[in-house]
This record gives sequence, C-alpha cells and structure tokens, in this order.
Amino acid sequence: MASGPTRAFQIAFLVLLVVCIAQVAWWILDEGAHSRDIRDRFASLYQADAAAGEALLASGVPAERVEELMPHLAADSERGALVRPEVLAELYEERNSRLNQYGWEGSFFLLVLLAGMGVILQALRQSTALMQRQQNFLASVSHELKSPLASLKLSAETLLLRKPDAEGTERLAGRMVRDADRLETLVSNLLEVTRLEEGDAAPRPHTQPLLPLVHAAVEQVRPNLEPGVELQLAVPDGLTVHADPEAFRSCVRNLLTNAGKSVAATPSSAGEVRLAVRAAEDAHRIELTVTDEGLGFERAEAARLFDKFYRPGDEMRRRTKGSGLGLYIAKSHAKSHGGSIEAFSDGPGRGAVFTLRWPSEDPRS
Amino acid sequence: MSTDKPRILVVDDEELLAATIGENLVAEGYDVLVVGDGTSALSELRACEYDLVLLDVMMPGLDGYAVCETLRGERNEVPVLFLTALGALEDRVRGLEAGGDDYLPKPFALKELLLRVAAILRRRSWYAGGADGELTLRFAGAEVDLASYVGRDAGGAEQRLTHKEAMILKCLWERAGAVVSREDILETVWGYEVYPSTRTIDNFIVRLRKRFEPDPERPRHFHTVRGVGYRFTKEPEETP
Repeated sequence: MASGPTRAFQIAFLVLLVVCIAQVAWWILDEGAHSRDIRDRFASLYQADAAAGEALLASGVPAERVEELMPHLAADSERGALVRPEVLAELYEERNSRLNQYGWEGSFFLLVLLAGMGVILQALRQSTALMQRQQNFLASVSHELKSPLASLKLSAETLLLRKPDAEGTERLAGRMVRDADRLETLVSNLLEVTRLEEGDAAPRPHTQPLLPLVHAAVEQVRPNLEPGVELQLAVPDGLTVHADPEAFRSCVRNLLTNAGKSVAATPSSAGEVRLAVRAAEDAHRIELTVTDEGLGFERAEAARLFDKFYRPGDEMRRRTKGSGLGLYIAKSHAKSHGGSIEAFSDGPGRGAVFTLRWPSEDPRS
Repeated sequence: MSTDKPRILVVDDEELLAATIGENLVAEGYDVLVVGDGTSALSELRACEYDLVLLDVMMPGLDGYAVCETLRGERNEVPVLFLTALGALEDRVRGLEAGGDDYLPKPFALKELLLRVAAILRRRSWYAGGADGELTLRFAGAEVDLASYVGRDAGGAEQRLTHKEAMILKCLWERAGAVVSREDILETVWGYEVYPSTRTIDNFIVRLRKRFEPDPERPRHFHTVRGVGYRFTKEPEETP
C-alpha cells in the first residue's frame, strides 16, 4: 500500500528519471556532434598542413623532408603535398566507431532508464487504483455506518419523544434491532478483514461434516434477508469439509448475503438464491455453488468482485448495500484453506453463480 | 399551499429510516408520502404539489442532487432539505448548488429535523403570503409576480426570476427604505446553518440590479450600505 510519502518519493524519482533520460539523449546527440566537430577540425588542420607542404615543396624543400616533417602527408614534387587517404580514412573510421559506442552505450542507458520509468509508472497506477478503491470504501463505509446509525438514533428518539403505545413501541424496537444487526455485520466484517490482514487468523482446520456448517451459516443469514429473497438449499448428507469452522461459515455467509443483496436490488426486489453442494470431480474437494437471480455483472468484472473494497458502479447511485468486503473475506478464507472461489454471470440483469471449491479432507493425509 | 396540512415528500432508500421520519412528520400534523428512489420522487413531484421534499443523496438510480437539479430545471421551486450521510463541506456546497434549501447530515437529532422542517415551511408560507397582502411587487414601473416569479423591468422587458431572487426581492421590498443586513437576508431567505458565505447575497444583488436597474453601475433601487447590507428604494426621486 503506497502511503503519501512513498508516493511522493515515487513521483520525485519519476521526474528524476525523465530528467536523466533527457540528459542521456542530449549526451548522445552532443557527443555525436562533438566527435564530428573534432574530425572536421583535424581534417581542416591536415588540409592546412597540405597547403604548408605545398609551400615548402615550392620553396625547394625536398619531398622526403616534407614527409618527415609531416608524416600524414604524401609529398611528391610533381603532384604536390596531399593528405594521405589512409589518414583521412582513419579519421572517419574513428568518428564512426565513436558514434557506434555512443549509440550502443546510450541506448542501453536509455533502455534501463525507460524500464525503470515503466516500473514506477506501473506502481503509481496500482497505488492510484488502490487509493480510488479506498476512497470508495470510505464513502461506502461512512454511508453504511451512518445510515443504520441514523435510523437507530431516530427510532430511539422517537420512542423518547412520542411515548408510543405497545404496538408502536414494538415496531420501533423491531427497527432498532434490524439496524443494530446491520451495524453488527459491518463491524464484524471490518474486524475480520483486519484480522485476516494482520495474519493472526491462521486457520485451524479439521475434517468435519459439511451439512451442519452450511445450516449454521444459513441460519445466521436468513433473518437478515429481504422478504422477496427466496432461499433454496440442496445439500446432500455425508460430505465432509476440511476447514476452520468459523472461516467456512463466514465464507458461506458472505456468499449468501451477497446473493441476497443482489436479488433485493433488482427492480422486482424478488427472486431465488440457490445453494447447492456436491463432491467435485477432483474427489478431494467439494464444490459449493450459490446461484442468484440478482443484478449479475459484466464478464470483465468477475475477477475484480473479489478485490478488497471493490463495489460495482458509481458510489452515489449504488444499488446494493454493503462495504465491498464480504467477497474479499470469502476469497481470503478459501485461499488460506487451499480452496478457490470464482464468479460467473451471463451479464447485467441475468443473475450470477459463485462457485466455491474447498478441500473435503486434510490434503496431507 | 392549497390544503390546511402542509404536504411533505420523504425520499430515502433506507426504508426503516424513511418510515420513522414519515411517522414523526405525521405526528407533527403534516401530510406525508414516503418513496424509496429518485425516479418515483420525480414522478410524484411532477404529479402533485408538495410544500417540502426531504431528499436523500445516495440512492440507487437517480441520486438526490440529480433529482433536485431536474426539479429546478423544470422551474419546480419546491423547497428541498437534503438528508445525507455525506457531511463534508464540499457536499453541502454541492447540495446548495443543486438548488437545495437546507442540508442535514445523518445521523441527525429528531428535534433538529423537526425544527428545520418547520423553519422551511415558515419561510415558504412567509413567501406565499405575499408582501403586505400583495402578490405582485411594484416599484418604479417594474413589477414581479411572486407566484410565477415572472416580472418585467421598467422598460417592459420580461424578467424570469429564480425562487431565491424573488425571495430576496420580497425581503428587501417589505423593508423598503430601511437598511437590511446580509445576515438578515440569509436568515429570512435561507434559514440557519446553510449559508456558504454572505458573499452569496452580493452575487444575488448583482443579478437583481442587472434585471431591474437601468444602469447597474449606478443603482437607484438596490443601494449598497457599506459594511452593513442593502437598502431598497421603491420610487427613487428623479435625478436631473
């Protein structure tokens, strides 16, 4: 998680890299120009020497003497003094080999710097995405905390102010219990995520019958389901699961709660949630599916659903309630037990299937 | 207000909260309807006249700001009190910009809610009652109909005022000749706690001058009283 200073450091480093890249590029061009400059200067010096050689020859100095004085000239009493072609060729050759060197070394530096820039940009992008999710999380958690809290407070104040009859009192108290339940779920999810992340929730799995665990999870979820949500179970007896009981229950609970919310958020607020379990083809696993007639999602969204804080759509117009933690918790539990979880939907408005695969016995035995 | 009971629409997707708010408002003697989303709120408000809307901001489909902006776009000037879990200053400003009249962050105290509701309704009936029984304000050849917000300047050109402009004009018109402080105007037109700043008033006065002053640079009706507020003159003496 990139905190403020890390991010500032990354950005500062990125700026440095850009400056370095510009410098290396400038260095390559400058060295190229410089070596050309040196070559041309030498060439014109040699030409000046050639002119001097001509003058010496004309004043009667013997050609051999001229060549002795200026070994880069070919002197000859008939043709005059000329710069030796091999000397000029060497001059050009040297410049080209310099250019080559700058080209290779420079490109290598540039490549390394660009790769560094890529790495930092990628890290920045990731931390920006995480920050975005955290902001969403903050918005959704404050909404999720404040809404039931506001309702709870208002009901309590109404009781105090209006002093309603028995029926009114019961109605208000009932609302208060539902609001408190909602707060409880959110708070325990938040705590569970903290425990998962601090790593002190090392699971203590053992092999046990599956049916009672599923039933316990269902009983915890059922009272909080919206009235239009119909829950169907198809859980055969005789299957086992190798799990920390609370982790497995939490996983099933979160899958069911998620499906229930998705159904409740459809225009009709009604539909089925089916939970089915069977032995997987791989005989050492069970396969638990939760199928709902809820909102569904785009196929591209399937993997992101399990990201921490991820909630589909725009926070201001959210159709489903929740904090974006439930599926993350479910996936974390599945992973820590050597299981897996995946989501599938035919598209928005067409429901969804969540498949949980979990070891049925101790993998070491 | 056609009936004796003020009509209030409560819009919130939090069913329990909305139900309890509704019951409390009924107990206060208001006529209340509760709906759970922005789209039903809009169709209800288009069909019937309400005296006040309590509007949640974060809702599925159409959010509260969008509902309020749509209403104002349709020249529906029903007072809007935003109720929302978003309580940051920028959210309040956003609410006012969307055309809201007041903003109450969740969780709120029941008595606070009831006071705010009563204050908004009082302002509404102050406005609907006209000025000295008159529903048309006339000054120096200009006139404004308080019910339709439509008027014309001294030159006869039509002027369509916003609800707030009309309220400020009425506030000044009623106290013509006297100095009215910016705080008084805020108190009368917006109610308490809402005001982003007294500068807002200055902007409204600039708009009123543009509408009704032949030369807004040298106002004859809307005089600035430096350091205090404004003084309104109905019939300025002819200057040579």
